[in-house]
Amino acid sequence: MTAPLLVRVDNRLVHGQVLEAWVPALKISSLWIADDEAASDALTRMAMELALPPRVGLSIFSLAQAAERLRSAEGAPEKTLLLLREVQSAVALVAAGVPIARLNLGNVHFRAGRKQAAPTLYLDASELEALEALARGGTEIEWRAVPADTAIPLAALRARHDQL
Amino acid sequence: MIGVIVATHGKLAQELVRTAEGVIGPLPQTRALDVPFGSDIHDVLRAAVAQIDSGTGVVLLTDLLGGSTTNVCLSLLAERNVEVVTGVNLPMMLKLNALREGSGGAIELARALAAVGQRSIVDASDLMREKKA
Repeated sequence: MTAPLLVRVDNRLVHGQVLEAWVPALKISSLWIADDEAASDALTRMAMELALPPRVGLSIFSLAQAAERLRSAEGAPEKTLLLLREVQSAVALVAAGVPIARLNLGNVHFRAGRKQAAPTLYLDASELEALEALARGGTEIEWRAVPADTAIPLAALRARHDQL
Repeated sequence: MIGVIVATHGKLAQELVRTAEGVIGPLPQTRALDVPFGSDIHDVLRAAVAQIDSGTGVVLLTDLLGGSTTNVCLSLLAERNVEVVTGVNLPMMLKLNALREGSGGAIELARALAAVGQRSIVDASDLMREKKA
């Protein structure tokens, strides 16, 4: 089984930062989206397929389908970047028996109840607690919008969040 | 008149509209929508389209194919009379008024703007060398 090279939480799923920064930096050849909403929306799929670089594949799964594929012997293709919309999606994958070694937090937008933890990252209390539980289980967690950003580890995200 | 919304990352949209107006004068029924990094613009965009559409549709000019702004614009295709053109540049902005004076619809305007944008990008120094030779 091949695990994804990186798992990223990004409300925007496939967009400029992913295509122009992460894909070349990690030499990604396969983009996976695990998201129930995207999986059921043909327009989203078509829009995201429009801009794929040559030789980069895109697969869109529901969370349950993605978990099943990642648990199977087949796993993900080499050099896969797995995109999740929300922190809770990462929690759901781990709960479904898919270990996540490295979790990148990219863009999580503001909404009521969330406080800023990094330039493009807003989290509510339950999301932070869920991330800390994942970290205790062995997941390495950082914020970085693009590869060139200086990574902010989870402990520092907690400190910034609690300061506000 | 067909509405136009320029929607980009950063402050590009605002500056494109301002600069174009500096060259050719006011751009009626045109709105700049700057999208701050880290914000969700779905509702903002939907409201802007509803506000600027006078019944003949809206052309959305965005910066980057594959970018989040473009993706959000494309998600409106199913619910509104919008056309989405990527790679917005100043030459396209300068043709907005003239192209909207024709009688065509939003689809025609979008295609004409895409053509203007594409024609405007050349290696000008190469053209000079060809002229010399």
